[in-house]
Order: sequence, then C-alpha cells, then structure tokens
Amino acid sequence: MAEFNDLIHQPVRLKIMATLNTFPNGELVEFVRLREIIQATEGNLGAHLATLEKAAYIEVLKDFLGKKPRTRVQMTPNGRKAFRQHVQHLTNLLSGDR
Amino acid sequence: MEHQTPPSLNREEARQALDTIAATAQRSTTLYRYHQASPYFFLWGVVWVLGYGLSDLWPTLAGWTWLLLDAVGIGMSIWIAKSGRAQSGAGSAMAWRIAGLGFSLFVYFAATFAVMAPTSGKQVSTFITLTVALAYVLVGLWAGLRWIVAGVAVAALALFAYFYVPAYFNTWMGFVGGGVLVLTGFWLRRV
Repeated sequence: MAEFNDLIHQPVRLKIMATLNTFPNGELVEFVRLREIIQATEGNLGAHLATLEKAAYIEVLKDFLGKKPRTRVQMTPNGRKAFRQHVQHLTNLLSGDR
Repeated sequence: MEHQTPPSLNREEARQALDTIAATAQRSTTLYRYHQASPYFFLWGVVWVLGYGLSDLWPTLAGWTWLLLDAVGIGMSIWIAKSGRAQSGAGSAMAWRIAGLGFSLFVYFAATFAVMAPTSGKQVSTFITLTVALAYVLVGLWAGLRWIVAGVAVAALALFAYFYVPAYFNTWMGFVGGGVLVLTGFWLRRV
C-alpha cells in the first residue's frame, strides 16, 4: 500500500534510504562510504542514522577492523518496505492518483 | 505508525523528492560499482606487469607464461568475488560468472586468431588489449565515466607501443599498461 512517510521524507534521510535501497539485501555499507555518497557532515549523518535506526528502518553495526573502529549500516526488510511505499506514494501523487 | 500527507506537499515537491531519490540512487550505484571493480584492476594490473615482464625475459615461453598467469588471475578473481560475498553477506553467482567470462574470452580469442592468423606476438597482445579496452568503454557507458577513461587510456597506450616503440613493446605494455590498470584500481577505490 502506498503511504506517505514523514520520517523518511526528510531530505537527508531520503538520500540515506535511497542509497541503502540500491545495495543488495544484507549488504553492509561503511559509514564513511555512505557519507561520501550523501555528502553530509559526520554529525548530521550520525543523527539521521540514529532516527532511522530507532524506527527499525536500518541497522547500525559497530565493530573493529584490526584496531580501527568501523561503523556499518544496512537497510532492514521493514525499512525497504517503508521506503518502497513512500516512493509509490510520491509517484501516485505525481500522476494524480492518490 | 500512521503517516499522513502534509498539506504542503504538492506535485512539484513530490517530483523533486523523486528526482533526489533517482540522483542519489544513480550516484550510489556508480560508486558501488567502482568500489567493486577496484580489486580486479589491481589484480590484472599485476598480471600484466608479470606477464609482459616474463615474456620479455623468456620470449619462447611467452604463450605458456600467459596461459599460467591468466589461469591464476581467473582463480584469484573468483577468490575476490567469493570473499566479497562472504564479507557483505550478499548472495551472488559472481564466481561462476567470472569463470564463464574467462572461458568465453579464451574461446573467443582462440577462434579469432584461428581465423585472422596473426603473424606476431605483438599483434596478438595488441588485439587482446584493444578488445579489453573496448569492453571497459562499453561497460563505462552504463557504469560510469572512469571505466571509459581507463579503456581509452589502455587502448591509446597499446597502440602507441605497437606503432612507435615496437622494440620495447613488452616493457612498455608491462610497466605502463599494467601500471595504468593498478592506478585505475587506486582511482576507483578512492572515489
């Protein structure tokens, strides 16, 4: 069902979800790579990731690669579904079919 | 959670949001492909350096040298694909595709050379290089500009070596051509 999602619609979060949606299911994206794609500051991106994580749209995994801390992100099935519904809603709105 | 369309959201804003999604997805896909391709450029750059270097040192064994190095290169490409799959957790038939790609290229080049009957090793090397360069350019038309730059650079270097420095063909192709592939690997990884 197409549904507007005000949490996803925020511009930075929209970009985050659009990016994660292009990765295959279960593929983890490194925080630094995501930042390069979104072109947001570290603090801004971190805050929006926390919002999406709280809504269970994404999962944030923190570990170490050798001695370096690493943060990786992946979209949950719930997030993929919500994003798809939001895009469908926007498409319907554009075509005048609401 | 119940979500409602805010009263301010109109068709123009919906169009802008969809444009943002499309542009971000395009950028993400391009950078993802660059990142995925990077280790293969490193690997085959090293194969080129070794292949042409060893062919220069032992020209009579050049055919066997390349056969062995290509087999190792394909084996390592499959290993890279499998380790990438294990790290990401994503399902993929990439390993089989690489093996199929290697076998298809082998059959294609063997058949082409049987028909065209090249008279020198330089012709064989240059033709293979130009074919690979063409493949990069064609991939680049869909996957991103950096593939096209790499393809054009490799083709130009091969043609320059064939026509202008035939006496140093293997050295040129090994260190300059192989070097370009390794540098392309760095370039794709940095983006």
